[in-house]
Amino acid sequence: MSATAGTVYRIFAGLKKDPLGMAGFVLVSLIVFLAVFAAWLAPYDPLEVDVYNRLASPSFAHWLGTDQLGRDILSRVLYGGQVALRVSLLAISISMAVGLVLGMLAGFGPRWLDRVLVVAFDTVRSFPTIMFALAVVALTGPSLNTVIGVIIVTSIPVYARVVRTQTLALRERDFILAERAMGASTFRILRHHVLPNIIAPLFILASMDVPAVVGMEAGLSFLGLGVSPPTPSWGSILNDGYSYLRNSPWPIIAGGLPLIAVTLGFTFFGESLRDIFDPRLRRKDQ
Amino acid sequence: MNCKVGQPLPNLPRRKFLHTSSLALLGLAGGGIPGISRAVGGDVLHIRNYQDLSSLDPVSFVSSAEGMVMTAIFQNLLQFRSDGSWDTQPDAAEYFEQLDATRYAFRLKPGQMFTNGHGEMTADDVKFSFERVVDPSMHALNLPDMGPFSHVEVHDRYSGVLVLRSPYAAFIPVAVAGPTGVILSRHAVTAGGGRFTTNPPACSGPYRFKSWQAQRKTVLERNPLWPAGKAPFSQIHVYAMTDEKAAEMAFEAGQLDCARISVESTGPFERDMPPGGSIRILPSGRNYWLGMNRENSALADIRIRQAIQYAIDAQAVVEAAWFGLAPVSTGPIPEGMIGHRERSLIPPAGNPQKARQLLTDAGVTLPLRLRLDVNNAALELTAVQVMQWSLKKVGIEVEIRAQDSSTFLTIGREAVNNRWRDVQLFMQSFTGMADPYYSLTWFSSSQLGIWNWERFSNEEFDRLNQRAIETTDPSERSKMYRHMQDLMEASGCYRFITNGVMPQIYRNTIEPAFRADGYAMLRNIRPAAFRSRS
Repeated sequence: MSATAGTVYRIFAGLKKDPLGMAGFVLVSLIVFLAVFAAWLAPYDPLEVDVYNRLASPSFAHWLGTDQLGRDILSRVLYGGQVALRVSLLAISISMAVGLVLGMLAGFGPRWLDRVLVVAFDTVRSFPTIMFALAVVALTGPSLNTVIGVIIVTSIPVYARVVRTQTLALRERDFILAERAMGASTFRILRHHVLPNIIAPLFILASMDVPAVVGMEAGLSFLGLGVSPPTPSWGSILNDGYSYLRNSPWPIIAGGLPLIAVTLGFTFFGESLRDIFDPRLRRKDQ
Repeated sequence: MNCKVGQPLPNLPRRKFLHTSSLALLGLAGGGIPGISRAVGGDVLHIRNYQDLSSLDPVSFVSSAEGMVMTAIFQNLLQFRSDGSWDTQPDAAEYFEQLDATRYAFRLKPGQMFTNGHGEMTADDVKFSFERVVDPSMHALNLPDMGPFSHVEVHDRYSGVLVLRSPYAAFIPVAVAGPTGVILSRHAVTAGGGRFTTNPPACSGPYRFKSWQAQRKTVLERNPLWPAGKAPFSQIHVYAMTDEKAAEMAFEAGQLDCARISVESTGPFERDMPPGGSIRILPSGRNYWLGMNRENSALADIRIRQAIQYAIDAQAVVEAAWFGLAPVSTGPIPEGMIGHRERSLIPPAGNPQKARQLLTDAGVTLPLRLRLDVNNAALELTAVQVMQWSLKKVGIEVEIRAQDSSTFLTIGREAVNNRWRDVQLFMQSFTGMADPYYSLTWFSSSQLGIWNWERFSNEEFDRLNQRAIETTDPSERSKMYRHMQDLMEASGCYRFITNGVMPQIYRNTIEPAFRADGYAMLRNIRPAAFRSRS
């Protein structure tokens, strides 16, 4: 059995023993499936305007009703999932990759570099995300790329801090010292000995970060700082719903439900992964 | 009171406990929204203002939000009637007459006193107030309101003549009866340093200024020196509430007596009005349109601009964003005002076929990609998304750029930066005044790069704009203004959308009063059973 297959088997074995984790996994799978196949599953074009059928209640024709422009809410929610996944995948993978490199440099590099990087991380983290987003949007204008950029910049320090701590803990361990004594290069030590030991917690952190990133995108879009109209996003669906709440509650419900599902799904799944890969944490929690 | 463990609690009478806790609960209920006490339809009027005050000085006020308060605490020579028309009636003046094209005689009512011991209102105060606005050293923001006003000749303690350099047809509605023309006390303003903001040194209206809390409320109180009788309310609390939804909730909670609400909430309120409430859907003087910057290379060809005009289904825009409550407008001049056009050159629903033909004639490669800037507000965003959909049908793909209001208001301003060159399409709006001059003058060549973001420049338009303001014959003026709107539309720079509506909800314990453009007239609002002693 290969290492990957072994890991997958371990995950499923762990999920079997954890009903909440399994529920989270099912929810995550469902959300990903619906988003990926939105083009086939959506009953209507999410941008198609039908003004004279606006704010309709749920019916057989429109399962979640229509919004203020008569657009099918179900179709917009499904396509909104694509935006959420795109933002979370891009933002988390880039910030994780950059955070990984910077964190290892800080943890394994010279002391001065560590200090400089830690100050940089703390400086970035000290900006309230929304204020930072407002400033960037004022300069560049609202767009999906701006949202992704803001999330990347504010998330890098989170990953880098975790990696740095793990790297600092590892650098004085015997097997690392032995590698050094044998003349291994810094790159080899980081690539073959440090990275494999810190990557698992990083992925757990990333899975638990997905709801936060999706929520941040939705929040920025709710404030009109995210995706441009008429692109469907859960945040913009919520924003439209807020404006027309007296006329119809369905846009708010439809925009809110997937956010709840993502939060619950990724949190349960992430916690389960954490328990599987680091049972010590589970014992501490208990 | 010391209680030791094991000792019984001191005796608290049940009745006292109930009394105290009831009062505490009532206090909490009244404070549901910070700073708002419960409206009970009694001696205090609680009303929403759509934004906070920045200045009550006629040289520096910036919006109708301030004008609403100013006309309650100050007097003009003439005031607007509260019957939904733009007609005027005497206020501080007992006599007002146009002597010729450039001279207006007035005589003040004797015995009108300024508060805070600043004495009786005289013709010299009128001179001071009007000449102060046109004094170059004051750098008055509202200088254009005064037009060619020159000076005031004071004849005696109460009478004088307002003198213009040239005829100005909008003088009475814009300058004399508007907030720019309120009469201040020379003594009070001079003693206070010559300027003020939200702390007027002396009032003369039925109410006087009591306090202002930034971003919260302004409190006016009955002016005991008001000679025309007792003002209807002992106090008026004017709440700065920018969010219409918050105002709606405050009204439902019984904490406001009168509030302007959002268009989309009109239907739900009509269907399910809180007990004792009423709604009025009033015409609004606000002009909404899609503008096109003809100096941007993508829109330089008039056929492309006309294609956009024809592609947009303004009927659908109004249906979606204004819930069909407002008619499609024929131009900036609303119905009921001289110069209003019965119909526009472009049909309300547009003509997509003609739009496609114009694009073909212009040799445009489709899809044509354009940008549309808009203020980031629900109503505007809804409107532009319908436009976007209409334009998509003829092969024009529009990217919507929603901007916060402060950024949006600078995109066409030459003085701010060079962004005006990149502006292509934009949705814009502004509130007109009681005269068509105020609705059209912003589109003249003198406003290029200031408020004229379309870069529309037409010699005939400019000439008519000047002639119309000097013409006193209403039918002649009307003809000119109608033609000016034809010129605007024929330039392809404008797709007129609507003049909007102003939904107002109020408690039946009051008799509300609104100006012709839907704004509340504080001094004319009264309790439902109120009978003036004057």
